[in-house]
Amino acid sequence: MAEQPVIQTRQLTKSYGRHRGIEDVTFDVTRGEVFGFLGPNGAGKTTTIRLLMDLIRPTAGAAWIFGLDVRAQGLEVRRRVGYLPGELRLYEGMRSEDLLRYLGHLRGGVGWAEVKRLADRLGADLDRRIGELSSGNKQKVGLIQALMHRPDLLILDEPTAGLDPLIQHEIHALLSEAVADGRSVFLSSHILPEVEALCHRVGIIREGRLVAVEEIDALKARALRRLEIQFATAVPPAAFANLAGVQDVSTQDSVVRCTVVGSLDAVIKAAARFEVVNVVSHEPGLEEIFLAYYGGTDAP
Amino acid sequence: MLRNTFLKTLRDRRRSLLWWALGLVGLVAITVGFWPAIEESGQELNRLVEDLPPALQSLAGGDLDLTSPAGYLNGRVFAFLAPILFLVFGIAFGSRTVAGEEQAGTLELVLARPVPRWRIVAEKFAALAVATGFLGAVLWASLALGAAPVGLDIGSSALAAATLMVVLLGLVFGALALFIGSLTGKRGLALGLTTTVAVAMYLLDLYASISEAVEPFRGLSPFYYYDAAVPLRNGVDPLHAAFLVVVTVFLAGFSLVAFERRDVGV
Repeated sequence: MAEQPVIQTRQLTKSYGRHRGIEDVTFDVTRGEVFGFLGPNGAGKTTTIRLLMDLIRPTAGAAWIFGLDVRAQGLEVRRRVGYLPGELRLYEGMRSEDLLRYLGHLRGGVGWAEVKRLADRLGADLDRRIGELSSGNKQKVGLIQALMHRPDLLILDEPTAGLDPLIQHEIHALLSEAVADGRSVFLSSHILPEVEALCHRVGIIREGRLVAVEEIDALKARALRRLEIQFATAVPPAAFANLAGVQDVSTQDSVVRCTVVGSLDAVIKAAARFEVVNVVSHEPGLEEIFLAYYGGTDAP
Repeated sequence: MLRNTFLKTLRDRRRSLLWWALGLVGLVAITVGFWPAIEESGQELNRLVEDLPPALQSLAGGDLDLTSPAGYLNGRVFAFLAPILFLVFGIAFGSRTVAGEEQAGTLELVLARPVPRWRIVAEKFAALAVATGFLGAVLWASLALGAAPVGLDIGSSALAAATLMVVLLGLVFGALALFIGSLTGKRGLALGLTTTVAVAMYLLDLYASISEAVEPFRGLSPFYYYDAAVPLRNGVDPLHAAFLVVVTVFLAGFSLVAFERRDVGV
């Protein structure tokens, strides 16, 4: 028998009147996996996550975490899940330590040593009033409350959005440790490099529908890559026509620009016949991934 | 103070409760401070009130002799000012504690813990009840302590009866605000609608006391149960008190169910 998925959704649907919700979202997250939920803002990432946390209730479909129905067995689910909301709002008048103690008590108490360890690890000062903290430091408090009971599963909605790169890096390191510890992570993001750095698999959501679930490598292989090659002398445009996976070729004197899907092999070999001065390749971003999945006309 | 939502909610209100308590003590101080002067010029005052139209008479404390200690305290504190203060406190607390925190987004992390939603609301209602009861105790204690030195001769059990009824009245509307907030998640709506209902209920009771046409509907208004039996003179009417308690308990119960069933923080 296959191992029980950590998260399982089947035709999960949420309609909000005229607003867009999500429709027929079905996916599995396996144990020990970091699953990235990728999509532009407003695509339905937060809706899906809040359905998993039983903060909102599905119009149709269902979801299970550790095989437990998130509606009927939500208490047991929430015992074993750490959650970081996308829009983190903390009681501004409390000190961080007091808030964490309160949230810990609502779990029946958590080991304070772990809180200390996380705070040290993140460099968070728990004595300060939350209202005085920068958004980065608030996010640290948010992460500590999600991690402090050592949950089997972390559900994180845009964990690094709007934070400076240094803190982003710290958070990534912390999450990698959690994964090395055997936990599973479900995180949403609209930043491709983040998903790339952390995730094993990615689900892409767009306008409320899950359009693809892919290994991160497969996703990148399908991404469009913009390539700019500068040659020593002008080259004949024909040399780059009809190459496998190469599109939108434009030749301007000694510079050739094109878009490549998947492997760069064909275009590099074609270029090698001339004297190459410089090659500029842009890492595919979220936009390029979306272009690959939806074509150029109706990309977000 | 952070062991559970009940204590946490009280802790959040500790400063506000202190100010409310000081305000009540101040009100009591002014009230009992004027008693000697009123006692002297009492007969004129009574004649003045007798000339008022009945609606204004009931505003001033009904048919009680204003120069009797009970009549004076009723007119100055329990007929109007104390109910207003306890209503404002209860409605503000009730609308803020669930709907306010939901709209602020701070409830999200609480609801992500393994605690049933109904229990969060139940503990918040308990905090509302305890906080309102605390203010009632402050009002009672300061009146009981302040009355004797100025010769305002009123039994402490009569005071206890009157403050108990004020507390129950505040709780009815606090629970209504809690219910509307738990049902809709909208603090402004809970605040505004409950205030509107309270004003309407007050007017219903007032008109019922002067108009035969409205009189049959008087029993719909919590204000009728609050002051009809004049607890300051006659003690607590158990049936009237029970009515307010039952309405409060039902509203609190509806709050639990309403909050359990719906989408939060949309």
